[in-house]
Amino acid sequence: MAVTSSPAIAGRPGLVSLVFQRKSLLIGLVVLGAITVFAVLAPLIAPYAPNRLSVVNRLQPPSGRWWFGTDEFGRDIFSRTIYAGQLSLLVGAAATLLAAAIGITLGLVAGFFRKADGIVARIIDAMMAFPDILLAISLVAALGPSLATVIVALGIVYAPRLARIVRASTLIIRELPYIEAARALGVPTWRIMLRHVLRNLVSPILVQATFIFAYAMLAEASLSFLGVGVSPEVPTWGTMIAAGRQYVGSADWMTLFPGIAIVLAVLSLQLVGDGLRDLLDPRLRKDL
Amino acid sequence: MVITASSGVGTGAALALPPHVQLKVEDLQTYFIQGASTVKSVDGVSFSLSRGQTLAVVGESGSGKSVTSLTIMRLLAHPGRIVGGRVLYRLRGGDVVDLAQLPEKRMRAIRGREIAMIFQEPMTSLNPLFTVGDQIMEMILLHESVSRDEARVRAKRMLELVEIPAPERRLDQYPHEMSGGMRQRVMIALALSCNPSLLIADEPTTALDVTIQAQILDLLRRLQKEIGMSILFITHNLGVVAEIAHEVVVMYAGRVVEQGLVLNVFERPRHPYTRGLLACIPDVRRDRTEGGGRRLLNAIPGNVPSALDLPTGCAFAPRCPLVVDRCRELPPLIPVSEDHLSRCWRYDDL
Repeated sequence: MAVTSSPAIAGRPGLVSLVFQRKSLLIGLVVLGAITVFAVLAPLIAPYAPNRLSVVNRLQPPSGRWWFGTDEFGRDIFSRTIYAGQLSLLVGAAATLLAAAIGITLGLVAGFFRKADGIVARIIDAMMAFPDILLAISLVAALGPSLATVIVALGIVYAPRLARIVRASTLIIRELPYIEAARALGVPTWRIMLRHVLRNLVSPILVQATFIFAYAMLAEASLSFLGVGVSPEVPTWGTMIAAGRQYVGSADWMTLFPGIAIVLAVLSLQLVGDGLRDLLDPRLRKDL
Repeated sequence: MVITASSGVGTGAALALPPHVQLKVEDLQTYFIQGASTVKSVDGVSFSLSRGQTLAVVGESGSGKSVTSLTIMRLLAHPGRIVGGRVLYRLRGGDVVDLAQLPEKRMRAIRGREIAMIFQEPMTSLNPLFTVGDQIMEMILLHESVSRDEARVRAKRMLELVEIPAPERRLDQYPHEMSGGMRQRVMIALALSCNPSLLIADEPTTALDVTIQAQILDLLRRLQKEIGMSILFITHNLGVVAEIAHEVVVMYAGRVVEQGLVLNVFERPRHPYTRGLLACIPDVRRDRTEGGGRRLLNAIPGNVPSALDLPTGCAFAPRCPLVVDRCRELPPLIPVSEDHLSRCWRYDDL
């Protein structure tokens, strides 16, 4: 490029059109958005109250009256599925935020301060050596089962994944010339950590966070399925599948629809994560 | 240049510098100590830099030139430590401080505001995720209490100062949208945005091609005249030294081997290492006229000795064409003429 102006300065496309250019991101956002809308507006959309019993109508197959069928107590599966979305999304989001808060802090500290690294890295390794579900179960058992406990347990279980990624990337970025340049220009350490290093980690963190969101929803379902999560009367996709397990042969709709909900939620999160990673990198953005 | 031949530094209570001096390094020793092994990267370096002047520190890789600049900035990486010496610096207010002793908190206020630094790699010295304007504004907002709008106006003025066309549009561009020379201009704008009194330039033109290199040197010279800052120029390129510097310090294996005014040193180098370096600059005319088909470039035989295993006495002796028995004893910096020092017993034979 010469000293004169260049064609690269020409206007950049807006955010909306960038999203529309990425099909998978768009699909992910639409599906995730739909799930969220259904969950949030469940009281308006649901044809029945989620816990309304109707023993005469137990184990009805899907029909015009019960779109997803009914369960062994005659409760409407469709209503329960969209209500369950509220809790599943809440648990996933809250656990992810908690995992991010713990993981990013630990990772940055470990990556930045040589002395802390030895201890933090060992703790991360030790936690990663435990099977996720086992660790979550023991945490829930120790803290006593409740919604908050499940969130805290999952947040702790998934924090090391983020901490590890943040630490590894911090170790690389810390040595880059522009970090030294920032130091030479008098930028304080905390500001280098937050503005220069963390900002560079946004895309790996976001991608990992969407995966953790998905894992956390699955784990919540597993915990509920195993009976150590939220109490069985509260509809979550996990408790619904757990309840349907006995009737898989006769009333497969009891497990099918909450199962589809989990698949859609997890899949859309993964699509969003991948799409965001590309979108957030200005170098990749240019190549569109 | 005020030349201090060796260490003998008084320890007065109040630090003082002659009025024209901006920076005075006295017997600086920076060692990298790891377990039982010690690397004396900078071993007793002294020089002084006047206001508005340029001092070049020249040497090969591993000679300690970059460590010297990082020591002054107190940006040494882990095992590196200042073991001795002083770095006297005149603050804007006129007070003199010893940068080697200053607490990190005060040092941070000096970096960027009083002393700025530009680096070799303009491609990677800017954060790829922020626009050029953001990065310059961050500097200004960090060190001065001005509004964002005012900082943006200042940032634009800085881009104009370093001769970047269409500065208003450039402010909103990312580093990857610019060429290497342009990025180095941005780096310079960034470094100068708070009007530092001293600019440390660590091989700022090495990664650039020759025409851009000449433009950047021109720019630095012009800015120096306009702003009146001092420049400490780290380079391995003697051609660049001749173009920009008033004084030169030649380093070899952590020690100064020759220092003096550029004119004197280039006119009559008094150390065989400096003479060898000057002979290494290819000269098309000379190489063509001398003996027809000669194509070989001059080189100094051998390599820089390992910093862990320096020879006793003169570190250059194993490669020196003039070596004598006496070289087993380390020569001091000997004043060979006014404002000219050489660390060679045989300076008079050169």
